[in-house]
This record gives sequence, structure tokens and C-alpha cells, in this order.
Amino acid sequence: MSRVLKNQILIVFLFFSFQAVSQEPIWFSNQPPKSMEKVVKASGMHRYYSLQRTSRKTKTTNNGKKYKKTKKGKTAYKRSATKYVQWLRKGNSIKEATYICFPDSTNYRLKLMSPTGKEEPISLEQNKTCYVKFELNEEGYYNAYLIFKKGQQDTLYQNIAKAELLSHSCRNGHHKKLEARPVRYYPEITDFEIIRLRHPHEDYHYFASSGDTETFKALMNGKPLPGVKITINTEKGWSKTGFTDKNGEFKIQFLQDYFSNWQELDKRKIHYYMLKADYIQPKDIQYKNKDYKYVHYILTMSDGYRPSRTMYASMVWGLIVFLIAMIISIAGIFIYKERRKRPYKEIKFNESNN
Amino acid sequence: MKKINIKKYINNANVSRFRFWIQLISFFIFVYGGYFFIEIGSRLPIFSCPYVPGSPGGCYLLGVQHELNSTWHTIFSPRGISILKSLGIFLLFFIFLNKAWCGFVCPLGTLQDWITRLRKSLGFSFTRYDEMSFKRLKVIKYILLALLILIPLAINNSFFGLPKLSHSMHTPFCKICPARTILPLFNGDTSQIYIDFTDTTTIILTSLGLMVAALFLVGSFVKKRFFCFFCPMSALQFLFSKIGLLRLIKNGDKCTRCGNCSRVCDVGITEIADDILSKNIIKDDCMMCLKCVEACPEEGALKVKVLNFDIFSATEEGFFKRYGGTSKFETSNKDDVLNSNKNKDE
Ligand code: SF4
Ligand code: SF4
Ligand code: SF4
Repeated sequence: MSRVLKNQILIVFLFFSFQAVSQEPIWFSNQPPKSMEKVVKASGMHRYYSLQRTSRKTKTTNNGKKYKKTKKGKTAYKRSATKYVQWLRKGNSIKEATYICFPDSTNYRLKLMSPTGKEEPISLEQNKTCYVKFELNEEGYYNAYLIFKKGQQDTLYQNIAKAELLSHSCRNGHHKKLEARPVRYYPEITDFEIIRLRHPHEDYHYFASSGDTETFKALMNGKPLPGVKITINTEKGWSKTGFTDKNGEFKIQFLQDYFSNWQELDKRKIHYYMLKADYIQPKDIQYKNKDYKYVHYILTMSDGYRPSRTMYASMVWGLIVFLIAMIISIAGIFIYKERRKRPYKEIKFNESNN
Repeated sequence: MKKINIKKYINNANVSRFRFWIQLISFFIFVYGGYFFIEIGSRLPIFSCPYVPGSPGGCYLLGVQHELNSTWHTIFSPRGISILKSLGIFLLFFIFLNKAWCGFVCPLGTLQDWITRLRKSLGFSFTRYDEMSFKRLKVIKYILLALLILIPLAINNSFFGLPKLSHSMHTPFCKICPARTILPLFNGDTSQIYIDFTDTTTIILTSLGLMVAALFLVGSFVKKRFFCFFCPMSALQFLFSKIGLLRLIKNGDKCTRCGNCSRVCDVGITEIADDILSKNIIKDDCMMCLKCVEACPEEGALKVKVLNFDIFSATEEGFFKRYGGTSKFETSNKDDVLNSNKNKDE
């Protein structure tokens, strides 16, 4: 026990001593900047956006539909695959973060892993607004990573922007819903990683809501890592900081920060949060021909949560309606049977010999 | 020689008991299978409801409602092919068992049969619709089927210049389906018993859902297969039942119109006895439980066929084995048949 404590004290000490030079982290965000709101659309019930699909080699008709002339003179629609996007933002909290473009000079690694663990294409788009662009073809959680390193004095900073992207369309059915449960992590891509543990009955339709508790787990080379400082802050400016326990776990309960009349309540309204994990490891390491004594890992993840179900769904009223309906049906059937007894003979099947 | 014996064995068999066990196993698979990593397609011709946490598959009605929740533009674009693909998968499942999916596999059908057993053991009597009500009420399932197709379309498209429907109406049938509210209870999940106060539409639909659930329980207690009679899945199945490989065939020449078959029929189909002209005797409400074949005493008057092969035929010997009083073969139908004359008079 004392060992863990010592470690934690060392980490806290190191953390504060490095704070002065610490970097503002870069993270993946699923909220579009104002300038892009017109060209993206929210993807169904999920919390990410896709670029409006454009057609290749197409013309636009009067009513705005796009078509392509085929050889036979008929029109045919041709569409490109749906591209999903995540924006790059920089800053310690959602409120203050800005949308950024990545300096070309920076070395970075960009990876997208499919739910079956295959590497898939992902690219960085550097126009006016910068974002990463990818396709989601399989059902389940995709992991996206953007990793870059930067040396400063005797510390090597390693910023890992991570996003877990759920790919699911109800149109594809729900037979693969168990695919939403396994959590995949990739020590070969990043030795330090934070994962969100799944709830026992989690499926494709799972969406955190205020009041829910989420558990995040820190891993170093796939093994639980205690003493990692985790800060979570929300759109409304609420924030919580803590350290992972001996199992490497950190629990957080999302507060309700959405209040509205029920007539105006938007149960699909998403509030975003941003998680930042800091961990400093004393480690002799060489990077670009320079020696460093410490590695400072900064991992970021962002996702959202919805208003709590209790804001719009009532089980008590459900039970009341159910019971009233039950009583009325029983009474109705009883009266119906009684009535039919008088003018006619009841159609009664004798089964009592059984 | 041996072949004949197998045939005789099957024709003398107690299919109802066999059906009971198949239903029990199917219920277990379709309500708990997901916990055992079983995954069966999501276009099933039964109420394998994805709202049930342990469900290993999905009900096709949900798929249809989701897929039709699209603009005409999407439906008639290459993406519309996926709608046909789903229908194809549904038909592939359906073609094998035909309407026997209802009699042997559907968990909601099984539940109704169990409620019937409970009623019997408690000694309550059951009711049937009279012929007029039967004819009038059976239309409801087609209306429900039409609505579950039209409402999702009307969410995204305007019909005759009318305003589009609210998105809260998506998957309208699921909102009132008793499988959504009742089956999750078998997994200990009570989360579907709720009223959604988001807007007026959701309040009405979720309230209706719970009323239907209450009516389902009370209804199936007094009327065998109460809900199946209104089930849009059954309507959809019937549209394609001609292509089913499993068939219920009647030979009108051999039928004496004794009425045994229609009396044992849980759904109350009278044509099974009265219609001596049709060969393919599957009606829209039939669930292919095969009780009628079991109860028919005329050699070969009713038969179950796969393609051209007879797999189960009505035989005199089978009838007497099942109903003739040898205790081994006594079935729950026995009283229905033996009391037939009494019932007729009433
Ligand atoms: S008719 Fe009955 S058995 Fe068939 S799908 Fe509907 S509920 Fe299930
Ligand atoms: S709620 Fe009913 S119709 Fe909808 S998926 Fe479940 S069983 Fe099918
Ligand atoms: S007609 Fe025969 S097979 Fe069909 S439901 Fe009635 S008893 Fe069962």
C-alpha cells in the first residue's frame, strides 16, 4: 500500500513541477465549428457527424436532386461513400478550446482501427477548417488515434487524441449488438491508453445520460495503471479531477446540467464532455537523437451524454396506465360475458374433466 | 418396409407434445439466447424482439419500419436495394417453416399458449368470437400492417400535400407492440414499462403500448391466441404463404365435415372444416400448429407436405391413438374433440 502511495506522491509532485511547461492538449471533437455546420449532418442517434454526401460527376436538376446521365439516356444516382469527421481542437476545457489546424511540420501518426481490429484509412484534411475524415463500414466501435510527440527540456510529451466511434445503423439490424460490448485497445499503437468500460447490457443504442456513472480505465501496455490524473470537464464548465485507483479505474457520475420545461425538452440533446489523462513516467528515452528522462503522456477523449431518462419517462405513470387498462379490460370482458348469458346461451367449453 | 413404419410412427405421434417442447426451447433461445452469444438474423418472421436484452435476433417488423423511414428519393436510389435485400432475407427464413414460425417458434405466440395452459389449470372457460366478429376483427391486422408501412413513409414524405408526420412516430408499431413491453420482463428488464412525456405523440403511443400489453394479458387469458389474431406479422406472412415449402393440404373428397379440426383450432378457423374445395388450406390466421391434422379421423383428409412429400397425415389409427383414451396419448385437445357434440348444441 505504501508503495502505491509513494508512487502517487511522486507522480503528483512530478505533475506539478511539470505543470508550468505543460502543453495544451489536442483532442478529437465531434462538435462541428460554426463554419462547417452547413456541410455536415448529425448521424442519426449517434454523436458524430458525416459530411453531406456529394455525387461524383453529377449535375443538379431544378429540384436540387443530383443525377448522372447514363449511356441509355436514363438518369442514375451516384453517390460517394459516407465520410465521417472529427475536428481537431486544442485546449484544456471544452469552453476554452479552439478549432485548430495541425502544423505541417509536426510529425504525427493517425490510425483508425475497425471493430475487428483491422487498420483502416483515415486522413487529415487541412483546408480552412481541419478535420480527420474516415469511413465506417463495420458495425461496432472504431478507435481513432492521433499521436504526436514533442520534446521539451528533459521531458518528451506524447499527446494522444483518442476517439471511440460507434458505427451502427438500425437499417443493418441488431443481430450484431454484442459487438458493442468488447472494448478494444491497441498497445502496439500507444502504450498509454484510457478505455471506457462497457455496461453489462450495453448495446448499439447505449448512450450515457446525466446521472449515469461511467468507468474509465488507464492502461500501460495493456495493464491497469494506478495514479493517473484524470480531469473531466463539460460544456457547461463543470469539471472533476481525480486519480485512477489500484485497478487503474476512475469513476464519474455525470451531473444533470440541462433543465427545461417538458414541452420543450429535447431528449436527444447532447452535452459534450472532454476527458484528459495525465501521466508522467520516469523513463530514459531517445527521440530524434535527443535523450529524455521523462515521458509525459497526455491522452484526451471526448464524447457526450443526454438528458436523463427520468426527465421525460415515468415508470409510475406507466404502471398506473397498465393497471387501469387491465382493470377496464377485465371488467369489460366480465360485463360482455354476463350480457351474452341472458339473451343467448354462453358458448362455454367444458374442460373441467382434465 | 422400414420406411412405412417410420411414416406410421410419425402419423401416430403426438405433435402437440412435440410442439410444446419445441416452443419451450425456442422461447428460451429467442429470449435468452443473446446471453449465450447466439446471433440469428435480424429479419426474422417472428417477434424476436430486439428490445429484449437477451434477444439473439431481430423482428422483421422493426426492420421494415426503419427502412421505410426514408424519403422516396432514398428508397428509389441504390440504397433502396437494401430494403429488397431485407425482404429477401425475411422470405428466406419464412419459406422453410411457412406459418409454422407462429405455431412453433414465436415467443409471443408461445407466451399466449402458456397463458392458455394457466387458464385451463385454473379451470376458467374460454370464449370464441362469433362468425361475424371473426370476419370483422380479422381485418385489423391488415390495417395495422398498412399503418406500419405508411406511417414511417409519411414521416419523410408528404402524402397529397399533407404535412409530414412527427419523427416521434418512428417505429409506430413497436411503440404499441406487446412484445416490447412484456418479453423484456423475462430478462428482468422493466425499462419498457414507461410513459414517454417528451411530446403529445410519445405520450399517446407509449400509453397505447401499455394498454395493449394489459389487453394482451387479459385477452389471451380468455381467448386462445388472442393477440395473433391482430398480429401484422401474421398478415405479412400470409401475403407470402403461397411460396412456403411447408404446406397444409386438404383433400376435400375425404373430408366428412365432422368439424373436429375447426373445434380444436386455437384460432377458431372454421374454413378448415367447411372448405372442401381448396387444396392449400392455410388461412391468414393459421399458425400451422397441426392440431387439426391430429384431430382428423379421416385417412389423408388433412396432410402436411414439404414440397411433394407427405410428412404428417391424418389417419384413423393416429386419431384413435391420440384421442382414443389410451392414457399415454391423452392430450389437452381431447376434451375439445370428445365434447364436440355438446359444444355444437350450444
Ligand atoms: S401471429 Fe402470433 S405467433 Fe405469429 S408472429 Fe404474430 S404474435 Fe407471433
Ligand atoms: S417491438 Fe414488436 S414489432 Fe417491434 S421489434 Fe419488438 S417484437 Fe418486433
Ligand atoms: S387451421 Fe389447423 S394448423 Fe391452422 S391454426 Fe387451426 S388447428 Fe392449427
